[in-house]
Amino acid sequence: MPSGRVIIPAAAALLAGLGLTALATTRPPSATERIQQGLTALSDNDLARAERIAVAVAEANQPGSWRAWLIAAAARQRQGRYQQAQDAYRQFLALCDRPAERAHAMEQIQRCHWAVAPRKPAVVSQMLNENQRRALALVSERPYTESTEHFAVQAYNAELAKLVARQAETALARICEEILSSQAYPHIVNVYVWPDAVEYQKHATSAAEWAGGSFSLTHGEDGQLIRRIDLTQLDKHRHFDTGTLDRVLPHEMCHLVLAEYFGDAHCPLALNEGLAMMAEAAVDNARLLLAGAALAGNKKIALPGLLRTEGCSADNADVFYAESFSLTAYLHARLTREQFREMLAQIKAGFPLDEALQRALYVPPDPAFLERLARAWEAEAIRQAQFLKALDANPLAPS
Amino acid sequence: MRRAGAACLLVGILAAAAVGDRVLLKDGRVFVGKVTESEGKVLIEMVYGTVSFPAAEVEDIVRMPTPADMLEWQLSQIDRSDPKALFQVAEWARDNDLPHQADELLRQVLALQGDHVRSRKLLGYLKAEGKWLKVPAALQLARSKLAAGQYKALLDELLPAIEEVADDARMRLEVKEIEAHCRLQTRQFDLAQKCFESLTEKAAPAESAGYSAIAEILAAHPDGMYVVTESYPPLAMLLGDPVDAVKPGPASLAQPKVLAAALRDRAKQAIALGQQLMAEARKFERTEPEAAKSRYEQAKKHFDTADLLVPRIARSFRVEIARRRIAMIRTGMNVQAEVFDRLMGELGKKNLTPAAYKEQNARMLRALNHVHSDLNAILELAEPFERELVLEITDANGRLGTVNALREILTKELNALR
Repeated sequence: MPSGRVIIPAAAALLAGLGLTALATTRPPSATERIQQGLTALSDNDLARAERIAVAVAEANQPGSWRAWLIAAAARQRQGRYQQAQDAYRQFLALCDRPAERAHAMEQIQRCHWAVAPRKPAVVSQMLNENQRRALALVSERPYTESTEHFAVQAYNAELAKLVARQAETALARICEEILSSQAYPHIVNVYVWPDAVEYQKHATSAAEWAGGSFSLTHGEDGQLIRRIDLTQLDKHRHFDTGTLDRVLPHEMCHLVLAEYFGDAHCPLALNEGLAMMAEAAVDNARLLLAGAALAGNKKIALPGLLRTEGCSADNADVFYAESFSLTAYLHARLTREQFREMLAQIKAGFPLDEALQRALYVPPDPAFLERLARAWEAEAIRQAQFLKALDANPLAPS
Repeated sequence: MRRAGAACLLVGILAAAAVGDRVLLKDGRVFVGKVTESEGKVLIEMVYGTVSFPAAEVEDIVRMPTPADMLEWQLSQIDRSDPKALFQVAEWARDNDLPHQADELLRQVLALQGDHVRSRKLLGYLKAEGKWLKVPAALQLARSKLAAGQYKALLDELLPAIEEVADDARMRLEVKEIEAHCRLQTRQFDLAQKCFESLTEKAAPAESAGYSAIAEILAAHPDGMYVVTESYPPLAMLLGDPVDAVKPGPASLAQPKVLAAALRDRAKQAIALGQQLMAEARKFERTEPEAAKSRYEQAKKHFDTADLLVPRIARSFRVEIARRRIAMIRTGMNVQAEVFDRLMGELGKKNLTPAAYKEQNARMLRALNHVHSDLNAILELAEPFERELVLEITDANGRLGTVNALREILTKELNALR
C-alpha cells in the first residue's frame, strides 16, 4: 500500500497532466462556432441566449465576428426591443458590404421604426373632444383653403381644412409605401369638403347617391390630369362626420392612387376595394366578423366568384365588401412588403390574382393554387371571426 | 488441409507456366506469347509487341492451356468444400481475367462460410450495423442516417466503408454527396465547401449546377450564416403552416431549409437576369423581331440555370416567353392571312387570263404555306405548356385544319391547271 506522501504527489502529477491535456485538447470556440451557437439559439427561440452569445462574439473583435450583430439584432427585434434592435442593425450595417444583407438590415430597421411609431393615420374620432367636434361642425360663409405638399384642401371651416390636409398627407404616405414601392407621388390632389350631402351631390364630380365621398381623375382643358376628392363635412344630423376623415378620405385616396397605378390594366374590384378599406384609419372588426360568418355559412361568395365580381347587388354588397377586406388583409399580412408589391405589379402586367401571386412568390404554377388559397384564407377568416366573437362575448371590463 | 496446400502449389506452378504459347520457327528461333493464325500468317502477341511470320516459316506451335482450362483443372485438384482453397482459386480467376467465374466461386465460398470477409468485400459487400450490405442498400442506410442526424457514425464508419467497395462512379458520387451534406449539417463549412466543389467537377452538368451554387454560397458565407429574406418554404405563410417555416433573418446554412432558401435566392437572381432580357426583347418585338427572339433565347438560358437550382421555378416566365413569341408570330401570320384574303377576294371580281389565274392561285398557296408554317411554329412553342396555353393550342389546331383544307383545294386546282 503506498504511503500518503507518495499518493499526494502522484495525484498532483495526474491532475497536472489532466490539466495540460485539457489545455492541449480544448481551444476556445472560433467566431464561426460561436456564431453557429447563436443561430441555433435564435432558431430555437431562445432569444436571450442568442443575444448574449451574439453580443459576446461581436464585441470580441475577431475577424468576421461583427456579423454576429445581425443575430443580436434579430433576437432583440423578436423580443420586441425595437430601439436596441435598431442599434444592433446599425452596428451590422457599419461593416456589411453585401447588398442583399444590407437591404435586409435596412428593411428591419424600418420595421422596428414602424413597430414603435405606427403608420396608421390618427383616428380622428378618438382624437377629438366634444368641443372640437362642435367647432368642426361649424360651417362658414366662405371656403378656406389649406395647401400642403400634395393637397389643396378647400373646406367651409378653417380648422377642418388644416385637419383634412394633415390627415391626407399621413394617409398618402402610407398608401404610397404599400402600393408604389415608396415612390414619390409628385402630384397635387384637390380636396373639396362640402358642408353636407346636398352640397356634395351638387358639386362633386362622379358622386354616387349613397356615398359620402368620391374621387375623380379627369383631364382639364389644357390636357392636364386633374385629381380630385370630394367629401362631406356633416352627417344627416348636422354633426361633424368623423367618418369622413377616418374612413372616406383614406379610402377614396387609395382608389385614386390605384386608378393611376393600374391605368388601363384590370385590378379585381375585390382587391381594389380591399386595399381602399385597408387604407382606412381603423380596422372595422364588423367587416371581419361578417366575412367569417359569411364564409362559414350560406351567404359565402367563393373566392373565384369574389375575384370575378365587378359590381355587386344591394343584397350581397355587405358580404362582398367584408370578404374583400378580409382577403386583402389576409394577403397583406401573409406576404412580405416586397411580395405584396410584386403581386400588384404582376396584376398590373395583366396576370390574374392567382398567377400574380405565384409569380410574386416565385413558385411553379399550380392549377390548384386558387383552391388552396381559398381554403387557407377561409379557414383563417373563420378563425379570426370566432376569435373576435369570443372577445366580444367576454369583455375585460363591464361596459 | 493438405489438398489446400497442394492447390496453392498448383496455382503457383500454373501461374509460372501460363506465360503463353511457344512458336518454334524453322530457323530455330523460339517466341513465346499469345498466338493467333490468320490468312497464312502466325501472329505472336508478346509483352513488348506483336510479331508475325508466314505460316511456312513456322516449324511448330505448342499451345498452352487457356485460363479457363487451367481454372477447371485447379478446381479438379481441390476440395470444393474447403472455403480457403476455393477462395484462392477464386482470387486466381479474378487475376486471370475470369471475373464471372471468380464471382461464382466467391458466392460458393460464402455458401460455405457466410462471414468470409474477403469474399464479401470482393463481391462488393460491406459490413454495417452487423449486417453485410451491398452498396445500394448501404447508401440507403447512409441516407437514413443523414436524415436521422447520425453524422459521426456516417463520417467515421459507414461512408469510408462504402467508398472502399463502391466501384461505380455514380455511387462514389452519391457517397460524396452524402458526405458533403453531412459536413454541412455538422457545421464543417470549409470541408463541406470542398466536397461540393469536388462534386461540381465530377457530376453531370445538370447536377453540377446545384453543387457549384452550394459551393459558391458556402465560399461567400464561411461562417455558415445566411440571411433569409423571405419565409421558407415560400408558400408556408400564405397557404401552409407558418410554424414550420424558416423566418426571415439570420440562420445557419447547416439547416437544409436555409440552404434551400439560399439556392432559391440564386435561382431568383437568374430569373431577374432573364426578366431583364425579356424586357429588352419586348422593346424589339415590333421593330427587330430577330433581336427580340435572340433576347428571349438568352433569357431562357437564365431560366434554365434557375430551374436547375429549383425545379420549375421559372416555368411561368417560360410561358410568358412562349405567349409573347406566339403574339409575334401571329403579327406576321396575320399579314399573310390578309394577303390570302385579298387575293381570294380578287378572284371573283377580276377577269384573269388562265396564266394570271394560275399565278394568283400559286400566290394564294404561298400565303397559305406561310400561315401553315407559322401555325406549326405556334404549336411548337405552345405544346410544352399545354395547360397554360390551351387556348393558343386549340386556336392553332383549328386554324391549321382550315388552312390544310384550303391548301388541298388550291393544290388540286393548280394540278388541274397543269
